[in-house]
Amino acid sequence: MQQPTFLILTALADRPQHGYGIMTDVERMSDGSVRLRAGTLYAALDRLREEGFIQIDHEEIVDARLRRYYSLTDDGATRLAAEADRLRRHAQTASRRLRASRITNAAARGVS
Amino acid sequence: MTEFEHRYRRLLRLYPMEHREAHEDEMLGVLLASARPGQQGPTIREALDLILGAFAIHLRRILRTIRRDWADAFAIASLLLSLLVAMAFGMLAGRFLLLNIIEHGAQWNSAYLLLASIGAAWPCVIILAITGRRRASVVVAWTTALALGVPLAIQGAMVDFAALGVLAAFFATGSRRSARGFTLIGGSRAISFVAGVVGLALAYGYREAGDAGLRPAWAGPRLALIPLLIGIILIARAAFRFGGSADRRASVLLALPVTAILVGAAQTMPLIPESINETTIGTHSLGYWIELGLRVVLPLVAFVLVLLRVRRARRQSGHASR
Repeated sequence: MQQPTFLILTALADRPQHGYGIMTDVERMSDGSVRLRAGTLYAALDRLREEGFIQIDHEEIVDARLRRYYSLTDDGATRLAAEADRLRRHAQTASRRLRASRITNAAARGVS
Repeated sequence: MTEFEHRYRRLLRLYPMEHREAHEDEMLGVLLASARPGQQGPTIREALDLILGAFAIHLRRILRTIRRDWADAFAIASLLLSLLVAMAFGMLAGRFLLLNIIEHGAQWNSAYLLLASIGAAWPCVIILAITGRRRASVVVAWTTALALGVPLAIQGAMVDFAALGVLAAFFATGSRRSARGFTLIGGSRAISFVAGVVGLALAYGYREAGDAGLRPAWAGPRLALIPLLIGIILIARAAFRFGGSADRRASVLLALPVTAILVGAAQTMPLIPESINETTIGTHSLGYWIELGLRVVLPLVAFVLVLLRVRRARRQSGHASR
């Protein structure tokens, strides 16, 4: 799964959000390193809806403009959980190997 | 509507109509909300992002339509082309191996290894496809078509069938359930197609036997036209059907390649009198130019005829359903 897709699904993990809310949330979660634009966001939302990972939750009108809220489906939550687990395992492996490596130990000794 | 909003709407017109109806106002809201203070219109990055987004959505719609509406047609076309390629390579490999044994005894000639491999691989593609192992069938088809067929074609042998192998692999990739090809075609149609290919092979073999002086004196060369004509009729009847939508689409997919093969098979027969070759145009004889012309023109004519027939059949089925 690509990083923007992972972050979009994460943005919807705890609550439904509208398009602009997802954009700002993704930027915040990635510390500004991932800035989604409208074209990329709606292409991703279109694909994720087709794959059954997200759905339209509800709509509201704010300042005479339509706001559509998206939420995660059960399949989307399962897919996100599996991806989070995969990334966690990879991060743990990387940390374990770095701890065991001589380079890191030497660096740690240098710091102390 | 402000000029600012109008500029964004112009870009949003690039999106599919169905997507615009559902999301245009929503996207416009997001674009306006994310615009910087004092911004006069879409930035170059925004415009590029919207263009690429529209392209991605269009592409996904097209692929979805192909997967949904053309999958059965791809399954039919890939099975029939695989049968044609398998039999052509199988018979050619058999012929070469037989000649090799006659000429050199039981000694193995490594030059025929490539041909024998292709001869064995295509039946595997068909067996994997009709037993529902689609992925394995597609992988073997592409491997055989590219790794074995193309090197052979580069050496100048079986160019037509090597190209047909690539096409069969491409069609197999587009079919969602390869086993469905056999279900849609049915046993009798598959047998008719196979019998047609045998007819072409008999015509070709008969002519070769004549060239090698193995034919009795009473058997003239034109006798080969009988199996040739029967073969062409059987193949055309099995490949081109217009009853259902999957058959009609498969006919469109098969029109050019199958006709090209049938014209190629007919041209191995002595249909044009040798006397015509006494006239030369440029560097080649008149017979050469006529053959080349027929080889290009006839498949195109067949393709147009199939399209017209498909149009008529669709109209008829439209009237029938009203």
